[in-house]
Amino acid sequence: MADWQRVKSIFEQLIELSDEDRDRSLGRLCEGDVELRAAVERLINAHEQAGSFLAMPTLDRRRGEAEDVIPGKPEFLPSRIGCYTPLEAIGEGGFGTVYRARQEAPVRRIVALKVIKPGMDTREVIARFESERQALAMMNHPNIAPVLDAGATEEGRPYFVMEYVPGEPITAYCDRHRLELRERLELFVQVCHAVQHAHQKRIIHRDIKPTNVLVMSRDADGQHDDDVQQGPASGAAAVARVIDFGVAKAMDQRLTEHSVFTQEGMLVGTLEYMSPEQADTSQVDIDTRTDVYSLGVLLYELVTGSLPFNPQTLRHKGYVEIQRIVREVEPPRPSARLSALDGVSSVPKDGRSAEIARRRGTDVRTLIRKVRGELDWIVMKCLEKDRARRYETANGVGLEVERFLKNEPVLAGPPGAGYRIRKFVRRNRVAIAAITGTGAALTVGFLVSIAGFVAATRALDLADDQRQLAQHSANDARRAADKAEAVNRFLQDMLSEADPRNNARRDLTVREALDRAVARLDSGEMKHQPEIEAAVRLTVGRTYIGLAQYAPAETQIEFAVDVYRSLFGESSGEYADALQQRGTVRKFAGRPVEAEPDFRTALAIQRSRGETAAAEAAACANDLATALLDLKRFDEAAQLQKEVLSFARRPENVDKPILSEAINNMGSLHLARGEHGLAEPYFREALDVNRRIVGDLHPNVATNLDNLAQTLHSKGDLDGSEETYREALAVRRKLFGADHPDVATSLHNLAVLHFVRGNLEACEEGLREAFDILRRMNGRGHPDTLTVADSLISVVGASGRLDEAERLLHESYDAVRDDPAIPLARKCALAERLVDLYRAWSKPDKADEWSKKAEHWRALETASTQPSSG
Amino acid sequence: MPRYDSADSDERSAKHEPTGSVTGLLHAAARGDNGAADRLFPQIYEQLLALARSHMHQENPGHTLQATALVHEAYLRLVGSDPLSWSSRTAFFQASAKAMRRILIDHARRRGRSKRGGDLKREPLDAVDLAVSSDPDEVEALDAAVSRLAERDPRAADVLQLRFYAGLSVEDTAAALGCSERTVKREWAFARAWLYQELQA
Repeated sequence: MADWQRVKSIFEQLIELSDEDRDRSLGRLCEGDVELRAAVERLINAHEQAGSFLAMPTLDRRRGEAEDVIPGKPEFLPSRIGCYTPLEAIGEGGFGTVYRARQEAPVRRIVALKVIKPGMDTREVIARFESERQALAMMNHPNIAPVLDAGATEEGRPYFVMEYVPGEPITAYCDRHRLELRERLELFVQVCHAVQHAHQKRIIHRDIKPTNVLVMSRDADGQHDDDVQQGPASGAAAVARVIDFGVAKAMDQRLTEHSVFTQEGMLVGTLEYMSPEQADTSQVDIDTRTDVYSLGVLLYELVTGSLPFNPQTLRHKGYVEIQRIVREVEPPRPSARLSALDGVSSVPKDGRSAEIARRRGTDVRTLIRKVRGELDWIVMKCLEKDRARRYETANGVGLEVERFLKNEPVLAGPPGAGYRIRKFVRRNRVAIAAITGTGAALTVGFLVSIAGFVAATRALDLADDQRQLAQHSANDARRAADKAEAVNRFLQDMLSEADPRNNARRDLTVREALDRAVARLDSGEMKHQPEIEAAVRLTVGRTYIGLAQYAPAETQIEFAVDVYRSLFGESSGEYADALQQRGTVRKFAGRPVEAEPDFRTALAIQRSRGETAAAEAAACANDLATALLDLKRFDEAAQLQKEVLSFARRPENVDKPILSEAINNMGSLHLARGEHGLAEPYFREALDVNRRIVGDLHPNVATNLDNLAQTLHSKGDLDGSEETYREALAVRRKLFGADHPDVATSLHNLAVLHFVRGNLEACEEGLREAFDILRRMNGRGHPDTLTVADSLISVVGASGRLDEAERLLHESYDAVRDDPAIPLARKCALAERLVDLYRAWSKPDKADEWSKKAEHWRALETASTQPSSG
Repeated sequence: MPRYDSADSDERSAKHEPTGSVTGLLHAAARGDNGAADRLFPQIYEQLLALARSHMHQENPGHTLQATALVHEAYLRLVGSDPLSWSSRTAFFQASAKAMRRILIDHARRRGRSKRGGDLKREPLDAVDLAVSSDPDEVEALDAAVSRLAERDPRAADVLQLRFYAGLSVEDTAAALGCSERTVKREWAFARAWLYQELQA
C-alpha cells in the first residue's frame, strides 16, 4: 500500500462523506497520486462491501442460527430510517439487522425495525409486502406482533417495522425458566392460536421458528425478565408473540441453490424448520399446512431439545442432499430421539438428555415416558412429508395438544394401518433409486439412445434431400431415367402433394405423405417396376423408422428384402442393405434377438464384397454392436465397436456420420458397463464432431447430449446433467415435435433426475408425459414403455396411490405375459411387485395368488438359464 | 451482563487480593507489571475454554454461543462484582481478546486438520467441539491478516481486537484505550475495510 498514514487519513475523511462528495473529494485529496488513489479506492470499496463482516465471532457447534436475538454491539447506528430513529441494534443475522427504534410520527412509540441487507430487489420486496398489507392489517391477536410498515432506506434497502416485543426466542425462554413439559405445551398452544388467526385472514407465515416466536413474562411485561429465579415462571405466566408475519413472503425466501451457498447464515437458520414442499424449489404452492409442519418442528424442539434433523448434518450437506433429507427421511419420534441422546451420550457426567430433562424439571426416564405415545404421534403427524396427512390447520394442532394436556384421547394415531403402506412406499423409493443407480445396466435399450441415431438421421436427411429435389424438380425430372431417378420422382410427387412448408408440423406432413405413398404402391402403381418399387418402399420404411412407426416400417422393409433376394440373390449388396434395415427396425421395436441375425448376415455379405463395401460393412458392424449392447453381450460388442472406430478414424471419414456414431457408441458401451470416466470423453468428442459436421440442431447432437447427461448424472454432477438433458430435450422437441420416443427418452431421463433431487411432482409429471408418448407410439408392451411404466409405478406407489399402482402393474403384466420376446425375469419381477403391493395393501388373498404366478415365472426362468443336463 | 460505567475510583482495592487471583493480577497489570499481565493470560484462557466447554455440553442444542458473550461471562466469574478501574478492566479485556483469538485459531486449525483427514486424536478443544461459524481456512486467514495489521498499525489492531474478539462497545473501547469514541469508530472502520480487502485479495 502507498503511505499507510496518508491512505488511512484520506480513507477516514472520505467515509464520513456522502457518496457524491466522496467521489469529488477523492481526486482532490489524492492530488493526482495514482497509486495512493487506487489504494484508497480499494479500501473504500471494501468498506462499502464489508456488510456485517466482523460483526461478531460466533461459536456454535450445532447450527448457524444467525438470527438469534442477542444484545447486539451496535456498529454505527443509522441516524434515521424513514420516520424512525434507531436506538440500538438488538439482532444481527444473515438477513440484516434488527434495531429497537423510536417512531416519531404519527405516534411516538418504540418499534422493532428490521433492515434487510443489500442483495434483494427492494421494489419487489415492498410490492410483495403491499400485496398482503390489507390482510396483515386485519390481524388482531394477543399472540401476534403485527408488522406495521415496510419501506426502503435511503440506500435502497428494504425494511420492515414491527411492534417491539421485549422477549426472547421461545426455546431460550423455556430453557432459561426451566419450564416443564406442560408449561411448554401451553405456550405452544398460544402459538397455534396465533397462527390459526393468521390463517383465517389468509396469511401464511412461512418462516415459523423459535426466533420468530418471542416470549415474555406476563407480569414483568418483559422488561425485567432477566433472572432465572423469578418465582414460579410458567407457561401461563408467559405470553408468546409470533413476529414477522408477511416478511417471509415479501422476502420470497426459498431454498435455492444460490441462497444456500451464498447466504449460509440466513438460510441455515431457516432450513431446519422448512417443510418438504418449501424445500422443493419448483413447488410454488405453499399453504397453511406448511406452517403446520414448521409448528411440528418447533414442538419437536420444545419437547426434545433437539431438531428433527441434525442441523450439523444438514449444514454440511449440499443443496440436493438437504432437499432429499427434508423430503424423504423420516425423523425419529421425539421419544426415540430422547432415548438415543441418552444412549449414545459419551459425555461422562451431565449427558445431554439428562440436561435436557433437567431443563424440563424432570429426569430422562420420566420425560421419555411422558413423550412416548400420544405426543410422539402428534409431532409426527405435523411432520408428515405428504401434507395431506398433516393436521389441516394450526387449530387442529393446538386442539390436539390441549386434548393431550387434558388427558383426552388424541386424534393422531400410532403407525398402524398406514404403516405398512409407508413401508411399501419406502420400498418403492428403493426401486426407483435402483433404476437410477444401475441406470446404465437397465437402460441400455432405452436411455442410452443409440436408438435415435441411425433412423432419425436418415429420415431427416431424406426429408432434406427431398426438399432439395423439390426445388430442382424441373431438372431432375427431365433426367429421370435410371432407378434412383425413378425413386426420387416418386418421392418428389409424394412430397409436393404435402408441402412441409405449408404445415407447421413436419412430422405429421411426412407421415401423411408416407401413408399416401404406401396406398399408391399398394394399389399397384409400380407393379411393373419391382426393383424401383422395392427401393421406394425401403426408403419409405426408413422414413417410418425415423418417425418411430415401426410396424408399418417393417412391412415396407420386408417387401424390399423379398424383392432384392429374388432379383439380386443372397450375396448382393442390395439384399444386405435391406437386411440391415430390417435388423434396424427390429432393434428399434425392442426385439434385438431378431435383429442380431439380420445384422450378422448383412455384415458377412458386405465383408465378402471387399474394400469397395468397407463403409457398408462398418455400418453393419456398428448396428450389430448396438444390438449386442441391448443384449448385454458387452465383450462381443466391444470387439466390433473397436473395429468400427478404427475404420471411422481413417482420414477419409473425417466428415462422415460414421465417425461420430462410432465414437458415441464407444461411449455408450463404457456407460453400459458403468465406466463413466471412460465414457465421458467419447461423448464429448462425438458432440464436437457432430456439431462440426451437422450443426447444432440434429438428432445425433441430441443423442450425444443425452448420453453425456447420463454420464454426468452417474458421476454425480446433477446440475451439469440436468442442463444437458434439457438441452437434448429442446433439440428433440424442435426436430420431432412433442410426440416422439426420443422426446420421451429425454423426458424420462429428466424425470429420473428430478427423482434423485427429491422433486417427486416434477418427476411424476415428466414420467406421465413420457409414458403417454411411448404408449401411443411404441405400444404398451414395448420395453421402453415398460421401463417408464416401472418408474411411474414406483412414483405413484411412493405417493401411496396404491390403486393406480395396481392398475399400471396389471397393464404392464397383461402386455408382456404372452410376449415371448420379453425376458422371463421381467414377467417374474412384475408379478413380484404385485405381491408386494397386495401385502402392503393388506390383501393377503391376492398376494398369495400373485405369489404363485411369480413362482411360476421364476421356475421357468431357472429352467431356461440352466444348461440342459442331457 | 456487567455494567462498565461504574466510577473508576477504586484503585484502592480495599481487600488485599492474593497475588495469583485475577483481580490482583489485573491491578498489578494495570500498574504496568508485565509479569502480572503474562500470568493473567493463561488464567483467562483456561476460564474461557472451560466456559466454552461447559456451554457446549449444557446449552440447548442450537444455542448460539457468542465469543464475546463468553468473554463477558468470564469477566463475571473471574472478577465478579469487584469494582475495577478502567485500566484494570482494559487489562482484562486485552488479555481476553488475545485468549479468544487464540481459542478460535487453535480450534480452526484443529478442524482444518481433521477435515483433511489427519490427526484423529481428540484434543481438549475437540471435546468441546467449539466451532466458529465460518470455514477454518477463513478463520486462519483472518488471524494472519490481523497479525499483519498489528505489525503495521498497532492502534487499529488494538481497536479491532477489543471490539471483535472481546466484544467491547465503542464506548468501552474508547475508555479502554483512552481515546475518543470517534477515533474508535474511525479505527474500527479502517481496520474492518483493510482486513476485508486483505481477505478478498
